[in-house]
Amino acid sequence: MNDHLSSMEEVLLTGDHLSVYGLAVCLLQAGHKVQVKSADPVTSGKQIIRCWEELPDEGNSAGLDDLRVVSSWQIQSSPALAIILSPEDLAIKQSHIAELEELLSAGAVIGVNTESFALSELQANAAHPERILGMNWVEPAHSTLFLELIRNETTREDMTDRVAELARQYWYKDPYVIRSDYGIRMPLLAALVREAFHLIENGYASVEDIDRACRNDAGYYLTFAGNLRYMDLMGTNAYGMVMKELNPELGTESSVPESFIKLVGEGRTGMAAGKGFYAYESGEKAKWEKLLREFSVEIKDLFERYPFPVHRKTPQFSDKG
Amino acid sequence: MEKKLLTHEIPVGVVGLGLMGSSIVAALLVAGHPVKAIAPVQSDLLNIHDRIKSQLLLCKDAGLISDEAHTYLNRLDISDDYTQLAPCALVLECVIEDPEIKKAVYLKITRVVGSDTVLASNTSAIPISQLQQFVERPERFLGIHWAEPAFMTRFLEITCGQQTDPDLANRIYRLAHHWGKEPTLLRKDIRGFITNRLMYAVYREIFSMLNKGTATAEDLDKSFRYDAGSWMTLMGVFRRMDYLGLDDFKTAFERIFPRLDNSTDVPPVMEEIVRRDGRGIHNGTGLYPYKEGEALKWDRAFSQFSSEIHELATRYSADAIAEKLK
Repeated sequence: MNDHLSSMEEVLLTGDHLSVYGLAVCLLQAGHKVQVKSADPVTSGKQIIRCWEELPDEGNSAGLDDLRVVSSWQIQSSPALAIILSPEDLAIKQSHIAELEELLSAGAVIGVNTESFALSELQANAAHPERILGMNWVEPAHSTLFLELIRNETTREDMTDRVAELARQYWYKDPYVIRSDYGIRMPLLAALVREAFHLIENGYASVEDIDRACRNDAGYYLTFAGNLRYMDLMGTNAYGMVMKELNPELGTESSVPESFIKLVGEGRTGMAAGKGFYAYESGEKAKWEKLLREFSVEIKDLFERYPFPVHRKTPQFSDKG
Repeated sequence: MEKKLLTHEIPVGVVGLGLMGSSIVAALLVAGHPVKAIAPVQSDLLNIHDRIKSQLLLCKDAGLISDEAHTYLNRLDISDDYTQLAPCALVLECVIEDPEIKKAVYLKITRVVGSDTVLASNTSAIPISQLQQFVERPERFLGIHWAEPAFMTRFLEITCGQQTDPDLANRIYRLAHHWGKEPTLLRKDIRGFITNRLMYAVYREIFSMLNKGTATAEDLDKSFRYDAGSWMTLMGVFRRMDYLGLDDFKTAFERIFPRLDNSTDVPPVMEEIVRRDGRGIHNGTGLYPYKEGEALKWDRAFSQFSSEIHELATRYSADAIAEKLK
């Protein structure tokens, strides 16, 4: 393995986001030593082990011995990479950064998930803003190819490159790097959701109708091709002709609908709360989690073979040589 | 229609045999209907029989049909003669998105079919309320919008125009369940319906980012494909948000919605492609460059993929998911 990557053998992971478990497994599979800091180490540990045990056998050559789940950091060596996966809250992210800066040497990289806060806001109070970059994942993080890296003018380019290389070689990711203060993933999804809200608020569709449309149309091609490629496959000019009529009529709301604010305000915050856009029975969340993990194995297989087969051998990070 | 529907007793007409039209013909044949396929453009007749046959063979490979392809082809009549449509209970129009051309086609259809024959358009761009103005007895007109390949996907949007008879829409909605679809019935007409509007909203943001140089085409495709493409066959966007937790989305959307692009124009790169008649892989002019022979590779790969994703999606159909969650 390349020397400049080997310094990142140990990875610190913090933030108690749902995707922490999958990411821990992703890093363990790559051969990293992983230390996860959690407010509830027992539950977090169980979740990680459950993810791990559901892996196909071939992924199990590395061990869980390299995992430590702690309630306060136990730093012996000098970790060169820390990853924050926290809720979308600026103060929380900044406090994670501050805590990590106390532990880490100046040359260590801090990756932080951010969907809507500018990277510069996250760097603002940091002692070493140049080592902070945006890192966004897709749940479950151990079976998806997605990794969004965000770097701005302050971020050191060599650090971003090293993380991208690690991700490509060892983490089973196909990352892209955005040179900006903001990522692109959430705006794309937000554009879709804004139009969905527009259709619902104006009485054209229900939540169920929107979800059925997603599953039964885009759900049949997005695994194969992104939007631009898909236009080329279907005949690009037809899309241009439709845009002429359709674009002037698309929703332009600059705020989320009251109904959504009310939903969240009433504590209907999704599956974990037992109710969100849909109602859930007790225990249903765990069933959805299992269903998604099963599905993810199958969809990963399609991603590997389409549009054209890609050989993504993931060598063990610890297999030095 | 309350009695058990026997699709082989219901002849259906399809007018317009391009990419979508021929794929809809195959879907209806697979569902058991006798099909009268009409080519309003001579070039549509070229290789049409072979094209539909190869689609039926794909269905056979995918396990969608049990009988041999020729059994289905025996129920198909291809012609440029509209009088063939006379016995049809339902006629689907799939010609290009030009209101004047559609108007002329409707006139030719209504001249030969019975007054109670249902007329439907596969338009994805023109409001049904507008198109039904062109039809005598507009209450029998509605939108039936398919996704490509029509014989593989569960997708179908049935849309009422202002004058569409709701009972008739319900009848078509029930019939569509016999086509292996999970149809959506839209009682209120809007341009682009649901799925197109969702995706064109994403396209608008994509082209804005491309234009500003925020990201490359490859980055943008990776982003949506690796994110939404890894769950959208299983979950719609609202289910996905419920799964991940709505608090974070509320914070993110409140901050991002004001920054989203609101432009109403066709992006310059798309205008240029329209001007050059760029049909993507089909003539080598699109959003990506293509080498000689590359189109065929993409085409083949997508056919194979469609068959596999169909198989996967069937195992995660609405009914199958409900069963797994029990």
